[in-house]
Amino acid sequence: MGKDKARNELLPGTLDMLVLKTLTHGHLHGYAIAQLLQQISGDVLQVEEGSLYPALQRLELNGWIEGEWGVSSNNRRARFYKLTPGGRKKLSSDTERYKEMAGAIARVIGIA
Amino acid sequence: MGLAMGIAKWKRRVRFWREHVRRAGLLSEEMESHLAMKVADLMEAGMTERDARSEARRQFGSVTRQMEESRAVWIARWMTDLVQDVCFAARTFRKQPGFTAAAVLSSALGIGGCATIFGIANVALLRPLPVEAPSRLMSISRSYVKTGEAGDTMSYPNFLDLRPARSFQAIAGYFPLVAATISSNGEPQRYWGSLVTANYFDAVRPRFALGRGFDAARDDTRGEAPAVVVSHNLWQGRFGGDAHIVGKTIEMNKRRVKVVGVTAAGFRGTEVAMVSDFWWPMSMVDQVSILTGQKNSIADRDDDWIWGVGRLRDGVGMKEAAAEAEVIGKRLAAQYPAPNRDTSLHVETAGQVNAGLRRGVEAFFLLLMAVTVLVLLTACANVANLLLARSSARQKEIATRLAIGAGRGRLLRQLLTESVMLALVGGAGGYLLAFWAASNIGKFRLPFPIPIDLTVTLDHRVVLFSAALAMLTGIVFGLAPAVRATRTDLTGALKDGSAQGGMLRRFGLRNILVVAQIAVCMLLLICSGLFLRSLQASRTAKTGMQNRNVLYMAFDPSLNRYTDQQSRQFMAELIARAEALPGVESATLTTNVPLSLAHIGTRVLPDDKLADPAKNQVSAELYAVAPRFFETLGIPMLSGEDFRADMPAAEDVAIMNETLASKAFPHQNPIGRRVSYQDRMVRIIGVVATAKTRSVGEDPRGSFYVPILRSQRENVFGVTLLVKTKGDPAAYANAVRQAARGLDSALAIFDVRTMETHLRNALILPRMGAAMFGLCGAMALLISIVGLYGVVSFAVARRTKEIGIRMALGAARSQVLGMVLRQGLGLAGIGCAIGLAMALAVSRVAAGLLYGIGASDWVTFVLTPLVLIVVALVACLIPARRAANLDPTTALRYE
Repeated sequence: MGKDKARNELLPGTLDMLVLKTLTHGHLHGYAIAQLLQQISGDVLQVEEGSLYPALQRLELNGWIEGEWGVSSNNRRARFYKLTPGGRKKLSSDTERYKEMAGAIARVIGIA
Repeated sequence: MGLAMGIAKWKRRVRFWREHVRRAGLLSEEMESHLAMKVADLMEAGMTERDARSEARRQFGSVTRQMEESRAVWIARWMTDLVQDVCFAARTFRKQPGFTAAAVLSSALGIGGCATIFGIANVALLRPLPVEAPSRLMSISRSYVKTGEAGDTMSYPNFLDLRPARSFQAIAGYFPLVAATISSNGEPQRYWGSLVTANYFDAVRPRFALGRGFDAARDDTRGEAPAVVVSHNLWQGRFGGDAHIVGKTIEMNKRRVKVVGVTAAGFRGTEVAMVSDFWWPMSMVDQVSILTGQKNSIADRDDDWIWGVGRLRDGVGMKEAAAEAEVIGKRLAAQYPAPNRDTSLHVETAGQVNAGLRRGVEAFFLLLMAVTVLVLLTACANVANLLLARSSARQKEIATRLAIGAGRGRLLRQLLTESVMLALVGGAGGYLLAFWAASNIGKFRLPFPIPIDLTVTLDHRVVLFSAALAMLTGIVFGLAPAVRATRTDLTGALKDGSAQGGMLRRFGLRNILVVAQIAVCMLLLICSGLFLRSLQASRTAKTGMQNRNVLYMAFDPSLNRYTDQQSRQFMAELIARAEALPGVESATLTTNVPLSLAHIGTRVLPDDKLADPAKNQVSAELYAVAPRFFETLGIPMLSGEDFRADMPAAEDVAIMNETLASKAFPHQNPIGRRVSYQDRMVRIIGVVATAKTRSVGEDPRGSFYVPILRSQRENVFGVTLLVKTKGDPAAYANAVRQAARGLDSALAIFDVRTMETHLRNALILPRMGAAMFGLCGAMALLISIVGLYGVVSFAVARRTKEIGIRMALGAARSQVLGMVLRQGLGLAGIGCAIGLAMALAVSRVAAGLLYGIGASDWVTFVLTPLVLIVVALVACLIPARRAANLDPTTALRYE
């Protein structure tokens, strides 16, 4: 199951947080989110692009994002996602937790 | 997470689930569009279209898997898995109809039995009364301090003293055995109802379909304007659901009575099984013939006839109420010691089986439940066995699935889904079975005329019970086979299905199950055999009555407000008219019908022992009869003479049976002697042979016969006309009925039946016992034969190769046949032996219920095992022949 490896490079649960974060930049469709993730991380985060979609479904089910159909810059039908107030709250709490966690790990490993 | 958010999420989940087909379409469009944008970007960066496409796909990953995972977001995975499992199971069931039918039939029989008994117990013990807050309604009865028994009636003055008890908002009194003839709207007919204090409906609070209850301020006053509340049942059945019935008057016992209300459907009084169809207020106490005897039922403290029912005051518990009632009981015992010696008052939740009977009823249901649970266990053992057999046959399939990476948990779940599905279908079948059984139970008729309703209606509780039982048995009995099936040794199983334990292991789970089944089956069959033999014995038993062609017709002249004089005249004329009918040999009357299970008792005191009544009273069954009673039924007259219509009215005379005579006048001639009976001295003019009086199985009882035409006493059971006919008595039913109608067209005639029918009804207990054990035994037989057949034929299938080798090496067909038969019959034999031992132990206990045969009736104990062995032989013979007819070359090439 080699394909899973790419996905496993992300810490579990962080994909949701990353997607929420990219959406703070405005309404984006799936492809744009994938590109943005790659660009911002400087191509370090190799996310299998398709795995975005189950994540988007999950976020939508939880009411953290909302999707609506629109037309992309190059005139294609695409689904645009935006953060809901609940999503913003979720992002900030996830970020807090992540910071704590990362700090703790860093301290343990001795790089802080 | 807040509750509101949780709800919002569930709403979205439901919406996603409902829209999942549409969403799947949109999602794939979304992913297509993603890929298209990616391809466009890559081509812009200089790739060829082909390279761009494959690169885009590589970076995107598997579209199918993303679809799958998204779908898992919309519909929880377990749900899709469940649907898959169910579909798969349904497919395999369709492919194996024989296995499926056997398993479903087994569990349907097992669950059906349990559901039936539960349904009956539900009606008798569990179902709350259809009244407001039934748990707050208490029944109050008289109890005996010494024995602790309760459930008896109290006197009206005692009831009035109880009434102010502070624990209750209201206490009402009722008497639930009031018969009345209604002659409006059609043929006059007798109905049963209750006499209640006017606050009855305020205390009990059933719902009303029309109108209201009584006026508590007025309707308790003796002799006030007569009023009646009728049941929904009576309203629909007799008055066609007349919407304007309230305010109308109807004719009851030839008196105009105003209808003031109709109770809602379902309410028929607060007694279990004893039903009321109308309620009269206390003002009508004088209309109730049974209460207008020698005593003044309203004023006498030693005339016990009323029960109490009270609604607890808010905040008061049953314990406090019981304590208060007990205090009142003690006070009454101190104040009026003569009628209240050693008695107190007892409080318990209303609508339960009377406290005096409950222990017996509960024990009865436990026994029934035990029997049906035995059947259920054999059924479950069968299903488990079939599943085991099948799972071994599926070892290859399961091993393959495990080998290609299916999780064991997933496979377990799949196998459990199958067993639960089988059980659920079986449960549905079982419910239908219970439905059928319940409708048949309602057809049992009691031989005595009191308003007992045996109708069993199944409600949601029974449905839930069946479903829960099915789930439970499906899981419990599916688990072992499922665990065993998935614990396969992969390599062995894949190589050759029969590599693992090819023989029937001596103590294998399957064999133990079959032995247990046969043992239980044996036990049940012997029990049913004993009951059947007992039934047979009681059918041919001597009742002491030699005639069989007798027609019975019951009526109650007192209901039509006849005076004693009119009543006597009516009865004399009825006999004359009946005897005038062509073909009628004799006609007579009695207040007490022999073999009715019920009885009317009295006490007599011989004339030489008058000094010490307490010590020398002899109790006897009381019959008030017309002349020719003994001749009509065929009870031989031993000495003296029968009553005659022309006897001088001044003298009180009586007849005894032999048993009573030997008790009252041992070694003396009773003819001409006198006994004191109901404070009168009566002369004995005859002695008759002893006939059975309450039940066929009884020991001889003393009976005391007095002339009906002069007797002042009539009773609640009414009077029964007995007509001895030439030929089939049923043919005379109409003529006799017409004769009675001709005398009084408003007379309610009930229970016209032949002696044969009456006697059959009298055997209700052995009949029910035989029916129940017979049914259970038959089920168990069917189930265990299916089980035995399954195990043996499975063993043959597993040993095909071995048998082939044996035959190739020269084993004769008869040897193969014998080998297989020995194996199957060995199991059956062990089961039979265990079952016989259990049956011997159980029959000792059941001996009290059996009539006319010993507990170890050899016919039953020899015949039943024989039958079982023969049936087992047949079940084994089929697979054994299959084995013997194997062609060795085919068998060896098999697989």
